Amino acid sequence: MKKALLPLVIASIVPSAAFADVIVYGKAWLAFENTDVKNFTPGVSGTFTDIRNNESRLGVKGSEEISDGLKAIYQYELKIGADDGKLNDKCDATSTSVTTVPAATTKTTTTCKIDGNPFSQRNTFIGLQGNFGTVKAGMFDTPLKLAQEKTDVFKDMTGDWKNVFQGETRAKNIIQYSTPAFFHITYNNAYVSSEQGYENTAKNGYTHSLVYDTKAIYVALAADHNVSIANSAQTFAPTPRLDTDIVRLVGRFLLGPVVLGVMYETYDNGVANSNGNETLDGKMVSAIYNITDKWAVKGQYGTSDMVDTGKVAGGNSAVKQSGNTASIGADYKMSKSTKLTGYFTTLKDDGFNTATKLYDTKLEHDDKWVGLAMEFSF
Amino acid sequence: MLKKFLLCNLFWLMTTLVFADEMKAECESAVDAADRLGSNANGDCDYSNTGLNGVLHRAIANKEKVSTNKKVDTETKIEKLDVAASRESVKATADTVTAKAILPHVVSAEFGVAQQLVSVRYELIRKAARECAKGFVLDKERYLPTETQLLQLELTYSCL
Repeated sequence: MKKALLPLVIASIVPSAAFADVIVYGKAWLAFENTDVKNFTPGVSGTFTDIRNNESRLGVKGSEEISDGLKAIYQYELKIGADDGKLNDKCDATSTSVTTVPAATTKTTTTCKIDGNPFSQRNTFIGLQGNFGTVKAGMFDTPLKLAQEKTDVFKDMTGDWKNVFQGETRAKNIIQYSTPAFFHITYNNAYVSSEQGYENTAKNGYTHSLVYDTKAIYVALAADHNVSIANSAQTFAPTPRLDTDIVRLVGRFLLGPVVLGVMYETYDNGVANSNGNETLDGKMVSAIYNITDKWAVKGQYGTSDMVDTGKVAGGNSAVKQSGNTASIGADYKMSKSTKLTGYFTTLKDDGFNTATKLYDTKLEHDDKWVGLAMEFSF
Repeated sequence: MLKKFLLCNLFWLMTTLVFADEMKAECESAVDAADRLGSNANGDCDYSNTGLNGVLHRAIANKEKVSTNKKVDTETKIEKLDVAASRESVKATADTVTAKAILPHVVSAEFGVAQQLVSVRYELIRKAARECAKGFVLDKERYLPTETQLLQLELTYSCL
């Protein structure tokens, strides 16, 4: 029987005693999509097919007993560019003015640079766990982001609700404390360091959640304060930044073969919009119907007026822009580790022009995707 | 009607809460569990036999087994070698003893007059008798001239 070479190589290197409490895991997840995009660049629309990498990853985590009731924990995880070996596609728009008689014209060109790095860091931490709870530090998803639990049924796919909601942050320089569970209730509190020394501009972040978690019912209330700002690029010229606050309420309910999910979120970006309203909000509903142990159908709809269109002065997100995303799909479990998902997703937004402060039809999105994804967990 | 609806839902909610402990969460895959808030909380889940982790753990276990078997084999081999070596040693000793016994021995002495012949011969035979606990047999008896005009009696014998 042929044996995989990599596991044997690893097994020959790693002392067996050290490997006892280590878990090596990963996911290969690609989708073949047909994409219909409106305003891929301003005024340019089109359709194309692509292979999309849905957060393929490789990780290792484990623990070691230090004493009775206390253990050290760790996790190290990398995202892998499983589709083209590269993870970061950056598109920069440049414009040049050409003066010709009788009228001047402006030519805009867009160039996309593809970063050759095939890896990027995902949730990584080191910590201690015991009867007192868990303390960990590193780079990982905030309690507010994780409050979604399994309600985003198209998570990490094209229909991920992060396209219309704020707060989906994998924070850097974060340290978190989680209480033990008391009657299925846990409290999670985290501090995000901006690592800046300016008293009047340094914005450190805080994020916490209160979670009630059982198989049948899940409810979470979470809040972020200045988390995105704490992790945003800082300059040496101190610039006052505006406070941002996010509050999220999530519920997930198991009703026989059906799982229902709901989410309501408010976002105060510190910037007054044209209506003088600083607080933006959004809501989402999702449902999965498990037809058999292999087949399931699912749907999701999210709408908000906090869709991110770019940054205004101070690094805060743009003013109110409405958008929504809707997805329907079907899952087929080929095996315990392998799942196929067929889906249709739409994403729309108003196309707010931050320069003119007007809605621009050349900027609005009305995108559609039809895809088939294969997910293999190992 | 609304009251009944609310009461039913409350009853269902309470039932769910009461039996929440019994409705233990199934263990999802390790990669999905790593994305959860309590990613290290699912200590009851055993991933030592699933996915890539299972393959590595089995490879490690085989490595240990091979190492243990090798150790056992080596120890058995050493024991066998020890036994064989001691047998060889015994055999070698026995062979040496046999060889010693089989090889011919020579003793000799000189004499000048006839009267000395008997006593010289007697002394050589006694010498042979001391060498061979089980007796001996004379293979050869030779009389050789010497430079000093004497005669040398030489006896060649083999122990029994």
